Amino acid sequence: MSPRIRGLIYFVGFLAFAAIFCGLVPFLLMPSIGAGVALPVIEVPGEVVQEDLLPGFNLTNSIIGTLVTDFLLILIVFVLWRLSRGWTKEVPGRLQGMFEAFVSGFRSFSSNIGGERLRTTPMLWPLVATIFLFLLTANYMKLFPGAETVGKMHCAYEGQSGYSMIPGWTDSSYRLWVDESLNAGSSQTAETYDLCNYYFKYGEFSRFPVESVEEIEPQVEAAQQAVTDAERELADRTAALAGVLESLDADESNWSDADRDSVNEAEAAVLEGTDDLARAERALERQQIRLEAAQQIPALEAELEEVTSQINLLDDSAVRSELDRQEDLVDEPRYAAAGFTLAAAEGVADAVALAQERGATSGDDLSEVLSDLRSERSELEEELNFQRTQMQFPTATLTFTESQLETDAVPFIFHITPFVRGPATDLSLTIALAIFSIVVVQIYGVMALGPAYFEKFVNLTAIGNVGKRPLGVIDFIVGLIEIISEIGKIVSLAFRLFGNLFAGGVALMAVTFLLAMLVPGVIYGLELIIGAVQALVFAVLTLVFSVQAMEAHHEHPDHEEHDEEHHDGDEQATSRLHSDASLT
Amino acid sequence: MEGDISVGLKAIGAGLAMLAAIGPGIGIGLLAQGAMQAIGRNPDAGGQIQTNMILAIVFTEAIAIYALVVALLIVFVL
Repeated sequence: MSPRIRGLIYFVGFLAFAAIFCGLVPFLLMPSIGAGVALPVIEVPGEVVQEDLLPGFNLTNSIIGTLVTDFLLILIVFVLWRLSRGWTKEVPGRLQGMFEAFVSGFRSFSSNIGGERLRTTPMLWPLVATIFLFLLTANYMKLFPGAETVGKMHCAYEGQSGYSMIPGWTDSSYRLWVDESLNAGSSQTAETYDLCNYYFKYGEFSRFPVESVEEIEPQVEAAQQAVTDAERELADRTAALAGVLESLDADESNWSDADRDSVNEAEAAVLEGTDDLARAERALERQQIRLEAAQQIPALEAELEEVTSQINLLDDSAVRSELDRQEDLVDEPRYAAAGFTLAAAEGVADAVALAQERGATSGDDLSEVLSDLRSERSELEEELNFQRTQMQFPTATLTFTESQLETDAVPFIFHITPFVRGPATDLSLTIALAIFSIVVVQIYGVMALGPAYFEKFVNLTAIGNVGKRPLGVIDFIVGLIEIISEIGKIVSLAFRLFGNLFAGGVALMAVTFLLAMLVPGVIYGLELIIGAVQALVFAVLTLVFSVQAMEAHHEHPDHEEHDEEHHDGDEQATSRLHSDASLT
Repeated sequence: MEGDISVGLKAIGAGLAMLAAIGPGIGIGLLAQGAMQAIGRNPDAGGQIQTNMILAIVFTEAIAIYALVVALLIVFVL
């Protein structure tokens, strides 16, 4: 077989694979089992996984991602420490050799930029290397399967869109149920959120069967009785609590432990009573909704049938042509004068009568009447589906069709929040890291130059010399602009990292939801490159700013005082140039 | 959501924000041009030139990323 034929077979095979797994499976097969392609969740701030973990502190998924990154980094370092026997092993094994090559490569790259200062300044190299390794681990951890995808299902928060839920493939597991591809889901409002929470709060997991009015009425009565009982019980318990409080001293500090216990018991009883009452009231409400649904469904079904039969009757080209014929004939004056009533053609007499009843005199009017009827029918269908859903799930927030009601799906709006999210996709981490870097740069500047470092911003020397050099005022203003430049550095560092990673994550999610197979691999490759490059750039920029800060800022060449430092800087630069030239 | 004008306006805003990607596009092209010419003149220095080019491209790309962030903010947050 020639290579060309083989290539053709591979190519056709690949196209078939793509057609099946990017087309058929996600858009035809999966919706039928309720696992259709939904739309991804994209939120700029970190999503809250657990509210109020500590008072006033919400646990977001980017914090969890940061903790995972920290753990991974410490694990890697620990493993290498063991492999190299406490950094002492002279002949490295494979893993140790790989890591040594990696670190020494980064070190030589940094010394090209940092020069001597990398060795002499305390904690500069560890800082730069840590930033690089942390961001590298963070960006690659984000790409691991499971990050930003596996999450916790909950009632969608207000404003979020979500889908209905179905019991999953194991006991007590659930999954989102999407039976339409690229369905944007339904948006949750405040009241539907409360209703969804009641579903969990009151444990209303079982669905009601379809029952008639006669079967539901006794249930309503029973629920009303339960409410009355609960009210009475609560009144009793409240009275008991009042009695207990009365029998004790007015001053709380005089109570004995037994007294306190009895008060707590009575209070707990009252709370339980209130809760029971709420439950009973809610059960009553639900039965009443079911009763209403049961009362309305038969009427709706009858109406729907009538409208459907009307539509079927009228939706006939024979009716249309008959109407047109009648319209044409009616306009002829001699017929009108003669007072003939036109008999409709056989078979369409009823339809024509109905159409004329509804005010249709021509074929076009008939189309209008038909479209009116059709919209009426869809409204009725909607209402009927709503009532049917309410019958089985009182206070449901979604409306299910009959086929949907046959499945196990639950008609409230649910949402999945991923557990782990890449740390650098959260603006909080990138801004914090950027502020940290720039503050450290200022510290290095002060360490190297003393308080004279701040002459970079507030150029007092230029003002002092304003007698000799009036144009020094410009230098002073330039110094003030440097302050803005520092803030600009913070913003650019933060947003460069955030933008690259967040956009990469969004692109990955969007492509994965649209073309499930193979194409996300391309985006993955891009993410691998971008993750490494952005980590490198952040670390290298920190190094560059530190080195710049530690070098004395160059004054106007006329000044003799600064000639020495000027020469030092030149020497360093030229020596580096010479060493570079000698390498090539 | 059909007929909701705010969604349409947001889409227009995001599209306009991404027009800003023209600048970095031209900038990166100029960078690459300089790098190609330098490598052409001195093929042995190719590695160094490439490294510095990539570094410079990353900074230029950042401006386009700022525009992308604004577009994403407009669509998803506002």
